[in-house]
Amino acid sequence: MKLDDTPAWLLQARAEFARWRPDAEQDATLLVRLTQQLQAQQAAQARRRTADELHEPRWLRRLAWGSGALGATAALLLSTVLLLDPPGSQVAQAATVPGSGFIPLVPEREFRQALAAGRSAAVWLQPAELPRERLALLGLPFDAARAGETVRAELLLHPSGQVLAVRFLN
Amino acid sequence: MQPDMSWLTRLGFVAPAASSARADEATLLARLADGDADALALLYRRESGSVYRYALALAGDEAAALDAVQEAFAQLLRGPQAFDAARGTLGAYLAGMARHQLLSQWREARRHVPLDDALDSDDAAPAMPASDARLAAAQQQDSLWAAIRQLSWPQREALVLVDLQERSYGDAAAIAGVSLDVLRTRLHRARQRLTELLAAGERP
Repeated sequence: MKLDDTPAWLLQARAEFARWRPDAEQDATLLVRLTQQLQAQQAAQARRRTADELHEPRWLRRLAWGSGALGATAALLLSTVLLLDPPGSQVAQAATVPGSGFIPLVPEREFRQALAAGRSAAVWLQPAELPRERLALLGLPFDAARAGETVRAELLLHPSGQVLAVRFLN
Repeated sequence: MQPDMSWLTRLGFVAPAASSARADEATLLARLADGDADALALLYRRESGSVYRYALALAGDEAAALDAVQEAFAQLLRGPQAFDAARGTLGAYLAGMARHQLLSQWREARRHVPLDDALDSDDAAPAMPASDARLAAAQQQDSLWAAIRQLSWPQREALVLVDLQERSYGDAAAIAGVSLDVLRTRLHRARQRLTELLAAGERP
């Protein structure tokens, strides 16, 4: 911080100095160039983001392929279940029987609505093998030493594909 | 002329208006980081004038001054987050960028820049102090600007920043990259040298 101790004989120079301006045309040109730089930067950033999305990390691609394979397996299992066990027969009953072991994965109201609809054969059961760590995510007892193993389960499915509830079998 | 800073300001209190201006500046910088061209235009209109004057006073060449202004703003565009409001004003930050550009040009042209303090020590025998009458006469601006151009870079910079741009010593020292004491010394020598040059110019 300073007090203004500038000698009086420099004050006129200060006033003149404050009037210095670049030529208006040059000034405008400079701003246009800077604006172009800003726009080019934004475009480059957008291109980088797109490129990043296209070049996902290898682990992410593996995960995607893994998910795809898992989905295909699930679809195959589902087809089998549907062929062997028409929708709506035992499933709704199992879910509605108290103590059936099903853990709702949707809000209770939605679950009850689905089950009510299930009486007209709208929900079905799908066997599945789930990673054991899912037990921990659902707040169930979980042995970290066996995290890599799978656990047999049954999924209660809505026709839309939404999983309404899960039941672990072992 | 900018009014003297109050004792509150000198003690480090920030006036509400200054605080509001900083908030506004932060908003504009955030918008700039998001690519807002309007924010760029506002910041440019607000800050480019003083950066240009500083650069022109140092370089003495309009093209070089405009280059320096462009480079300062280009740097800001490349990394607005590099500006830290806690370390000084945006104007000071931009002036620092312009200075860097000017020094690069200078080095390119002259291979080395006489920035060391040795060049600040005007060891030549001091001329007789100019009388008030002579100093008044020295307000003939041509001779004054000619004398300013004869100052060494560090002295001219200190004089421009403090006496012509009315920057605080802190801001000026930050831009020049020196301590407050060094800046004060340079400014004192600049004024002294200027009076000598003006006095010498008036001798028959």
